[in-house]
Amino acid sequence: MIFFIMRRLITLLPTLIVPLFLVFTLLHLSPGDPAAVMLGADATAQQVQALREQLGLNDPFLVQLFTWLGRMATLDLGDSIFLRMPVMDAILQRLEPTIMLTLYALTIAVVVGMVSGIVAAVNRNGVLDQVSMTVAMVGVSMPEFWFGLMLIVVFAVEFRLFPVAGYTPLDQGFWACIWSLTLPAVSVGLVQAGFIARITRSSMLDVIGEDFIRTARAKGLPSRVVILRHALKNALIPVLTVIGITFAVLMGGAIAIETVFNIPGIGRLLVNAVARRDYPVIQGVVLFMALTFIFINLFVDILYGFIDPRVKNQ
Amino acid sequence: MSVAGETSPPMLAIRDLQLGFRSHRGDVQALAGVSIEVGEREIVGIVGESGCGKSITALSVMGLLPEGTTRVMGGSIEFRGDDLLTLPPRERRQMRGRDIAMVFQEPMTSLNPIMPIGDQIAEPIRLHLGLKGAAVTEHALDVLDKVGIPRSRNILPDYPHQLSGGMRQRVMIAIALACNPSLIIADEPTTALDVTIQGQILDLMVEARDTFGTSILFITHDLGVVAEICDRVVVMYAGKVVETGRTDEVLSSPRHPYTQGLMRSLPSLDTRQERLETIPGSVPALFDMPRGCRFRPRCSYADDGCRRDPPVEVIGGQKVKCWKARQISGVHHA
Amino acid sequence: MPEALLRVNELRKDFVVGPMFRRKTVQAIRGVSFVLNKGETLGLVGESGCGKSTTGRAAIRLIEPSSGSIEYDGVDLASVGARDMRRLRQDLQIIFQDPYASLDPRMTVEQILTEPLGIQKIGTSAERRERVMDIIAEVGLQAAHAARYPHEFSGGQRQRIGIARSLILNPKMIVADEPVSALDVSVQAQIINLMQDVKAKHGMSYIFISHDLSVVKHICDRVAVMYLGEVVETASRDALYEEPLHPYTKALMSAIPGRRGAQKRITLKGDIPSPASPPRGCAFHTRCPSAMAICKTTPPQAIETGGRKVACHLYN
Repeated sequence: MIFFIMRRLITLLPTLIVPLFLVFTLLHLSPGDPAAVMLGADATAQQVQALREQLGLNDPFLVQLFTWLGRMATLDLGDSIFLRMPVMDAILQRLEPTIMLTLYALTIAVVVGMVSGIVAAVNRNGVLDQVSMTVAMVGVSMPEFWFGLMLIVVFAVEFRLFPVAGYTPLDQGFWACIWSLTLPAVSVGLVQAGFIARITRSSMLDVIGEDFIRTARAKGLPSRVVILRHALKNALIPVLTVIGITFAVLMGGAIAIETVFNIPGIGRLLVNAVARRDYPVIQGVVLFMALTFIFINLFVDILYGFIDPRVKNQ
Repeated sequence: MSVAGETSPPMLAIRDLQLGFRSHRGDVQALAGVSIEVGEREIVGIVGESGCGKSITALSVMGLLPEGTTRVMGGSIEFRGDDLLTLPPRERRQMRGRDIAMVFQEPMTSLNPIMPIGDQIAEPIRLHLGLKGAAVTEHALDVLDKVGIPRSRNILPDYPHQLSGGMRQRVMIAIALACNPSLIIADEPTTALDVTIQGQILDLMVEARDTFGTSILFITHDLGVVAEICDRVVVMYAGKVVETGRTDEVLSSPRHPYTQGLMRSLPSLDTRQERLETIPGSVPALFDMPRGCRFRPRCSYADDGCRRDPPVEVIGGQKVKCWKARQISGVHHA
Repeated sequence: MPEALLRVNELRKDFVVGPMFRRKTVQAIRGVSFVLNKGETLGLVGESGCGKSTTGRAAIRLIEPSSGSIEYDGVDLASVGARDMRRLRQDLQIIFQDPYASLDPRMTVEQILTEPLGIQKIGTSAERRERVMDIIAEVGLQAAHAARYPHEFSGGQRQRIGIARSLILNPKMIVADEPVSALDVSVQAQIINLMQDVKAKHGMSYIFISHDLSVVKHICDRVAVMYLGEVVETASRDALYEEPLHPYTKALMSAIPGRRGAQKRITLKGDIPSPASPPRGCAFHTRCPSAMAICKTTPPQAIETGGRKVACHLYN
């Protein structure tokens, strides 16, 4: 197992280099002088020159690249131009709402998605199957921000069950925090649940048709045991991949939904940074998201190794 | 027919089993009145080509027919005198693995790929024998030892992909033998195996019968395998039994034109033939069955009389479902 | 003296398998030599992993051999250039075990059979059509079948299409890779007869790959027995079946189920070793009932005795 994880880590290195390089060149791909663009039309030549020095833009390309990579290695993402603080601090400040929202939405997506997928597969072509798959289809086709707005109109404005917007931090109580995030989490989570439900259903149906399920039934095991012990674990393998992707989609989805619900998270940070052309922050957030995505996938790969012995013995 | 059958009811008696199958071209009859008996300590072979209904017969005894598409339309399946088809589902399920066990064709796909061998053998032991903890492991090692995997070679923590094809089939047989069932249904258990491994597995099945007194219903397409291990043989064609009898009798003097054609189209190891004899045409599709005798369009003896359902003729120890059986065999009506 | 059509010398094929960092080499065939005579059917028999299929494919360069030579028509197929190979391809055809998987499901029978003629630029379209219809009749299909798709046929009929495709270019030799293994007994006999009929008519040679020793005995003139990537014994059909020499051949013969009047089955112990790590010395020594000390260390050389070849220390 340890060898398996080591091997996975090593194969990860090339995957790390690509986002690093892309994020670095982002600055250089922008039209015109990045320093001038950042400072806007009113900036004086001295201000631009000072910023160029600060950003190291006067150095040769390769020197800039390696200086930057060196800083990344020490987790120094540079300073925000607008917020007057290190980018790392800005990200860490905004991290909690985004993590809470993503985990909450992921929980909703996985629980609702897998349960309805399993129920649909077991009652193949039955009423429950038809109903849950129709709902899943509608869910998948619905834009999250629109669904979020509808939830606000119904549950916040009409019934006043949840706050219209805003975020209650964790240190004011776990349930208070959860309560404040319910509408945004449901709006992104349910949409992803539809996706997971469809994959779970088709994966379960594939497995239920396998010979070893027949063997399990031939042993006299009750259906419940056949489904939970034999079918589900095998069906989980493709579902796991989708959950990994869902995680990334949820983080991306946070950008829109944090704006709709006015939540002070990473997504809002990014949107604001783009509006102000705050390049170091944009770089920092994009890099942060890319790395998170890579590590989630590493985690999923390692989980494979635990579930499927064939993967690690390959 | 079986020796045991004369004194006590046979272990298994399938009587006039009719099975419907729903397809996109309408309902078809997959089994049209199949009757098969298996006596105590007896190995009975079912032979026939693909689509003859031999596997579906096995699955209907196990109660593992695909739900929704297949339906029993008539007949009975008596196991030690009780009709399995009228048993409540729960009792029927509890008999699986305990009284009747099954071995399948593909040992690779028939084992759960992500569950250790030990857990897969332990399942029926816990379920039916009520053993717990270390006793389960002991029993599992015992059974593996009986199928030729010595205790010293503890494979309980291994996964199926770590074993060879022959070992995997031994594990399948161990799972089947785990609760000492009265009847084992083996569906082409050696077809996926190499010929030198096939011999080992056939020996094992005969040994299981000799030491535990297990009856075996052995499904195969290979007449050579039948000759090797079966006491009696049932020949099926297009959803019907066409001939039954003692293996040596049926193979040395087949009486049904289909059995004869099957025997003749096999290349022989002993005699030199320039050309193989063939059965013209091919097996009819289920939705397009000829009336009367289903072998009629391919049979060289057939005439208009064969458009009626043929009777079962008893010739010597053999039962033959054919209008022409006596004429072919040169036996006259008694 | 029979005239050789194809001479295979010390043919090897290695496959590299496994994920990055843990690659290993599997020697699928390890120095296989045989001769295929004109008008002859040579059987390649053995169990799974013995390399019989790889040998058949490498012999007509459907897969690239790693080393060794294949003499055919004055050239070495193993090293001939792509352009010459395409010309030679006409002479060297193959029939697969699973005809369904080897026929393009979106092409009609006529398209399937016309395609090789188009690639080799043979005839006008009228001539091609005539040739296709002739072949369809020859393999026992009807003219109406030409416009149908593979899924509309039964297994036996599909194999007839496979045979028709291999015949269309008038080849000198055909590699038949388990052509009847997937078929029912009654259909199997039809296909075996058809293969013999077309050979009698066109006079080509077959390499007939099979694990079924009864079928091989019926159709082959000579037989090469393979075990773990090597030929252990080569002999004429009658010599091999009357008196097998190699202990593996003996075990194989005795294991044929239901062989009437046969002596007691020689049950080999254990499993076939993995081709990824064949035993040292004689590859068969781990299962051989007659293994001696030398077998564990020294691989036996094939020796000729009475017109047949056997690779076993018992005969040195």
